[in-house]
Amino acid sequence: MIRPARAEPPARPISCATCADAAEPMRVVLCDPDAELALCVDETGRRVQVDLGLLGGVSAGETLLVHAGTALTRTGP
Amino acid sequence: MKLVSEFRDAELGRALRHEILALIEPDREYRLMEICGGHTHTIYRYGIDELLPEQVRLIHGPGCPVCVLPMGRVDDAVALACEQDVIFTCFGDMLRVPGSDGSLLDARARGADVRVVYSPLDALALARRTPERQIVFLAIGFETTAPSTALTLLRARAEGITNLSCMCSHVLIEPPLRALLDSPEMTIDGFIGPGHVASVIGADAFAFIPREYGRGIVVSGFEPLDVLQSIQMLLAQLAQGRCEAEIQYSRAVSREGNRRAHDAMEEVFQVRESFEWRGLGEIPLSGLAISEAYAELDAERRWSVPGRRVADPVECQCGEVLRGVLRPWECRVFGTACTPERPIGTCMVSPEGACAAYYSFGRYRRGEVQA
Repeated sequence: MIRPARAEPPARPISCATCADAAEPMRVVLCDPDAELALCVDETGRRVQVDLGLLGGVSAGETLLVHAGTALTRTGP
Repeated sequence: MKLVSEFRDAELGRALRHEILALIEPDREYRLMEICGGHTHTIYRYGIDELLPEQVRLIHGPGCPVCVLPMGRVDDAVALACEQDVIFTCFGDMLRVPGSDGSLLDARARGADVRVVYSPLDALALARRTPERQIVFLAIGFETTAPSTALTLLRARAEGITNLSCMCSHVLIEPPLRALLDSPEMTIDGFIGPGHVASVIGADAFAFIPREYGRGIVVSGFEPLDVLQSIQMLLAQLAQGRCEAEIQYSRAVSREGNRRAHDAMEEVFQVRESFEWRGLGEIPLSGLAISEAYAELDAERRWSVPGRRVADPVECQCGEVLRGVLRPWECRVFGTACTPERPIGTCMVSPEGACAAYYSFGRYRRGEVQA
C-alpha cells in the first residue's frame, strides 16, 4: 500500500491548480495497480498521490497529465 | 528531470516569434481567441501578448469555469454550506467568488464548515473519515474536471458511502463556443483550443468549428512555447487559406480523447436542458447534472436548494470581457472598485480570470487606465 504525504495546495496559487483547465505533467515513481493509485513527482520534486482510475496499465517511469488528483492521459517524453 | 521547463526556452521562443512575424500581413488585423483561462494565464504570466506584433490581438474566451459561474449559483452553494452538519468542500478558487450575500469565505466566517480540497477524491476521503457528517462537494469545471468528479461518485457508490453528495455545476465546452460563434459580435479569426479539455474529449470534438463556422482552431498546450507555436500554426492556416482543427499539444492530445473518462461521465451525469452562464446567459444543453441513477449522491436532491437567479452588479462588465467584446482594462471598474483583493466580478477572482491575470502580472498601472 502506498502512503505518500500529500502536498497542501498553496493558499493563493499563482495559477489555478485546482479547477479550470489546469493540469500538470508528472512522472510515476510507484504504482499500486490494485488500488489504482500512483505516487507521482513533478519537475520541482513535489510528490502527490494520483488516482489512475481513468487510465489502464500505468507503470513506473511513465509521464502522466494530472488534474485534480486524477491522471487524465499519458504524455510524451 | 524536465517535464515543463523545456517548453519555456527563450531561444526557441525568439525563433517562433520570427516565424510569427514572417506570417503577418502588415495591413491585416488578426483576432485570435484563447478559449481557456489557463492560456490567458500563460499569456500574461510570460508576456506573450507583448511579444506579438500589434496586428495580432488575443481575445480572452469563456474558459474559466469559476468566471462563468453565475451569482445565483454561488448563493445556492452558500445556502448548502450553511446546512446543519454539512462540511462543504470546494476548490480554493471558489472561496472568494462573491454571491449576492457574500462568498463561501464569508459563510465560513459566519460559522459554516467550508473546506478547500485539491481533488473531489479528497472529499470522498473526508467522507470516509467523518461518517457522522454530511460532505458536500461543489463540482465545477469543464470536461477536464468532470471525469474526476465522475470517478469520485463511482468510487463512493462502489464503497457504499452515503454521507457524500455533489452539487454539480460542471459545464461543457461546445455549447458556449457555438453561442460565441453564432453571436453577431463574433469577429474571431481563429481559436487557440483548450488542450486539457481536449485530452479528455479529443481534438475531433472541435472539428465543428472549421466545418460549420469556417474558423481554424489549434489545440494548444499551456507552456509559453506551446502557446507561441499555436499562434504560429493559426497564422499559417490564415496565410495559406486553410481552416482546420489541428493539434499542437500532441504530447497529450489525441483525436479521440480518453474513452474511460468519457464512459465515466456518461455513467454518472446527464446533460441539463439549460444552464446559466455569467455573461452568456442561458445556454441550452451546456451543463451537467447528476443522473437519475446516481440521484442519492446529488446534493441538490438531498437538500432544498433555493435555485436563485441573481443579476450581476450593474457596474460589473464580466459578461463583455468573457465574450471578448471588452478587454479587461476597458471594464469601468477594473483596478479601481474591482481588484483581486475585493473582486466585484468573477473575472477578477480566479487566477485564470482575464482581469486577475492582467492585473496580477504587471500589465496594469493605475495611471494608465483610461476613463
